[in-house]
Amino acid sequence: MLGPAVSPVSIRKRAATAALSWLLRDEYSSAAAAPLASPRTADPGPGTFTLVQNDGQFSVSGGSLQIPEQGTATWGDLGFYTTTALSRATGRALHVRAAFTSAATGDRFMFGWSNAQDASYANFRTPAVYPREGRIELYNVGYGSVDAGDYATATAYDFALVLRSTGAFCLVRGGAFAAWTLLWVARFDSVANLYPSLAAYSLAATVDRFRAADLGTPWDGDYGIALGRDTFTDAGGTSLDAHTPDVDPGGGWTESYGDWEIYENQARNVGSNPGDAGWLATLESGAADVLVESDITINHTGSANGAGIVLRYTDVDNLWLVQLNWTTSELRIYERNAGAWTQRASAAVTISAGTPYRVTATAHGSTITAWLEGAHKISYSAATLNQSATRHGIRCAGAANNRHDNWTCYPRTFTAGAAYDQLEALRA
Amino acid sequence: MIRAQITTPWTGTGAADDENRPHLAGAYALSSWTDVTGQQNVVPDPNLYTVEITCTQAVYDAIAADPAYDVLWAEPLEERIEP
Repeated sequence: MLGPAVSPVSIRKRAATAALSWLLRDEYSSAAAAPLASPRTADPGPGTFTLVQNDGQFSVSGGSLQIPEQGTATWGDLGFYTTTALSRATGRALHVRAAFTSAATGDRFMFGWSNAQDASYANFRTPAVYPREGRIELYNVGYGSVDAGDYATATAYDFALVLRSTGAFCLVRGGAFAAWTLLWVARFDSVANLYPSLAAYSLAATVDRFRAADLGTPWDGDYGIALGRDTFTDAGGTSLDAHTPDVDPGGGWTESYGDWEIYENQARNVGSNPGDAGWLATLESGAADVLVESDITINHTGSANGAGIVLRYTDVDNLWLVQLNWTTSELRIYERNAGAWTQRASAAVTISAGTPYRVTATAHGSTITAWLEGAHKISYSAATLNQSATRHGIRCAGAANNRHDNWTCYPRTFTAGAAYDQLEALRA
Repeated sequence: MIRAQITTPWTGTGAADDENRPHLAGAYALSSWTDVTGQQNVVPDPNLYTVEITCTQAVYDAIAADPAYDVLWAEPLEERIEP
């Protein structure tokens, strides 16, 4: 017997208003003169912080923690960390609302999940948010920085660092990021004991919120927000279009041009070169603004050889491509418009045949950006072709047997749905 | 390292083995370049557009002395200090 009908509207409303259970909550509602007492009891709580104020002193006014510029900028002289650790759990999120006073050379500080109780940069994991000289970077000790975009001064930004079993989702809302934007998906580091921390250096700032809570579905899974994902785990020789992706939004892969198969649990192009478009396989994601990553291996070292991530595909003659080009040792952004290939950006890189490289590409509005192994390489900001196209995928060129693995497509922005509701509850 | 904006002609036919690309990129060893004109009509008349490049000082000096290209502006790239 069927039960009573449930209104989708009521389901969305209930999800949007669901209260989070705070693990840590400091909202700075009570004014306090510098220096603040340490340990500091979070306001309204829960949580307790140890404050380090060796050079510069914190105060609270106007509902914000006031962070001064240091006299002599030194990591470890000004900052704070929780007195107890919060263990790693998938979906556990740190939320920080901050505004920065300057974008001058040398200005920087850092906040996020640290593996040690100090006020230094040296133990941040997952990674940390690293506002620096007008740029928002994401810093993970041992792995360096990811350059994720610009910040405007005197503008409030909400940052969320949502833990995965390894790494974290890094998100921002504020300024030019009008919607919650997935800046990066970090895949390194699974250290368990983490202390929400802030380390000031030379960038004066205000912080209105410093909080942590556990988010629910879909953030409580490493790939819960993915629009498509494939580890290409299947019997060798299976045609790609007969294989079911790990996360399949519906319909699976289409071998859009040339032949593809599963081989050694990777996708590879097979047969002779099908022509000017190269080998293409695409998947419907439902979103035009996306962050896509793939582990790409170039196995054949002949001429015109490369492999890359396809964005905003509508047909074999109209698409965007972020390509690792073995022949020229470059990472390139291509526009294929009405069948014509046009290079829009390129960066020299060092690559070796037979080695997998993580290529990451974002399509966000009219901007296409490309990273290699987490390092930002190139962007192109007039990508108006196919701006609303929602099919993305993989391409190979030159010769057979290049490989793709761990292909994952995430939404770049969140404006509705369960993932957005959770972020808005965090931000409320 | 130097960052600069340079005017260059397009070259290429649009085929996979002869893509449309800046003439400058084939003539000099650039660290990176990006089309900042964003022309949808590739190869306009006159055939000229602007790319922003990064390159070594030596490569930049050679480009600046090459009458085939015009430098709109150039500036040194600060050496990055980690973190």
